[in-house]
Amino acid sequence: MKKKKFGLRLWMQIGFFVLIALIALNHTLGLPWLSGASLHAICPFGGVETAYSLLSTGLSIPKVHMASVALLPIVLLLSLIVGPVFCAWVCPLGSIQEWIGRLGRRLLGKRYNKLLPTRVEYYLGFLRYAVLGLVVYNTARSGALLFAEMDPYYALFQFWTGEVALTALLVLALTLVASLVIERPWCKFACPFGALLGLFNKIRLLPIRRNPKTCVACHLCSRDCPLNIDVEKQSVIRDNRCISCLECTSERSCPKAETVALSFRALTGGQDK
Amino acid sequence: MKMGQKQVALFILLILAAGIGLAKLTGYWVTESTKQPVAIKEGAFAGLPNPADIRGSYAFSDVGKAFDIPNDALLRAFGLEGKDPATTKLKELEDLYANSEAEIGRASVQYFVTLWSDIPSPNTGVYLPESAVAVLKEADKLSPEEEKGLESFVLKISPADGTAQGAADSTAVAGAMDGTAIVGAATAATGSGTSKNESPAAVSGKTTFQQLLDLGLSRETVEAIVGSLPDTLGMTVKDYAIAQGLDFSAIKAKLLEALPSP
Repeated sequence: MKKKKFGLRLWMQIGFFVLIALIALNHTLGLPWLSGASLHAICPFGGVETAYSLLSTGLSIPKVHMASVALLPIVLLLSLIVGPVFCAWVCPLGSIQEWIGRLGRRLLGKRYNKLLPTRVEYYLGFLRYAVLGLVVYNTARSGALLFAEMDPYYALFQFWTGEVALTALLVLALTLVASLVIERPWCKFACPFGALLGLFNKIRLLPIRRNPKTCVACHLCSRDCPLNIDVEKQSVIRDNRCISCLECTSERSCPKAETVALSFRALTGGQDK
Repeated sequence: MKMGQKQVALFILLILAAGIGLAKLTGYWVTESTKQPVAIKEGAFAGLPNPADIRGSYAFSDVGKAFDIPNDALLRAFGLEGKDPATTKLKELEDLYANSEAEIGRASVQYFVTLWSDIPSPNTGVYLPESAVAVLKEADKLSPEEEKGLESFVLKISPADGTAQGAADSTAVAGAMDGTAIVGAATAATGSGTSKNESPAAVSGKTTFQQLLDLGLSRETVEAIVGSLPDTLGMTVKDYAIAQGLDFSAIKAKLLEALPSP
């Protein structure tokens, strides 16, 4: 099995993580050349949370700024074209779960991310939609950013300030610990924004496709999928769990060129990479 | 058309840059509170800042600047003499008045601003400290009707101990914060002289479910308003609302409206 290299996606993840961390720290540091943006402002989920208030009253809910409303259609457009790339390439919470997961992989080896039966994981994934529904409904009803009480993203970048709810800190701790045994547990089972973006997998213009003619059924793509999607069994990945990390299309996970790829049309061809 | 890692990375950065750039050009890229409330969109007061958009992150000086209220008046109104108006934020009021029987916070500042500025905003069921009423009277900002209506919503309280010595009559008027409707401040303050103003008891942050029943509300009524009842009726309505993710101010207003007259 080839070792996971420092790929381009990892560099993107590090870049966005550092950027957001610096912005968060700047609330304390006060550096004039760095943004003092609110953390809520640079999270596109704020756009979802404030949608009802904005449409009904013309005012956004407290703590949510227009930047997150502006980010939402940008991220939705990306999802429509190439799928939920925000989850795999940008979201810092997803990134830190993956990085802790690397440690988990070292500790557990092949058992990492395989402890739960696939079927159980699949059905537990629908909890995300329950979280999404509850958050949107209760936020609309109360006009307050209730999700902040359990938001691990905010907790991750503000845990030192004393402004984070205890429940959010507990959710963050649980997420990080669970990342040692399950890949991206928050993304898989609880993230309301991921739940929404995941729906775009059904209609995205560039899905991940597998060429059944050139596929040698080595099962590597399915094994390496962080969301435990059985890529090998499908010719077009429309699974709502897909985060477009492109692991299944990499050299590491598919020995045949142009057999698994992000493609507008069905794949043809396919040689050894 | 196929996309590999490089193309996807480039595509993400391109779309993000273009989208954020467009948001900046159109003025939508606002990442921090501008400390300027949005303007009222329609009605007689269109164009004026909307008190309902005052945020907890505003400093008292931001409120003063937006609504042309002297900082000194604002600070005295909420018992914060000597504090720096530029660094004292509205959200600190909740901590300062944490032990208060009724909430003194952002909503109280919004209510104070509506009375000072004569910009209507439905703000019933919100309490003010006695010092705020004194400041309003001193500046001749209260009509006789408003002054009378306010008697039910005043708490003899200061941030030093954060405890209220009780509202004048402990009465209350139904209503809740609503950023859309425009209601005359005078109407809101007087409560139209209905029997609701003569209700004997107030619902506050420390009122328990058992106390609501003792006040004459039926279990069914309370359940209909709150949505459910806790296992222990000794729990405060406020704590239960927070636990359920509900807006306590809105529930309080409905409970006050439902309270039977003596």
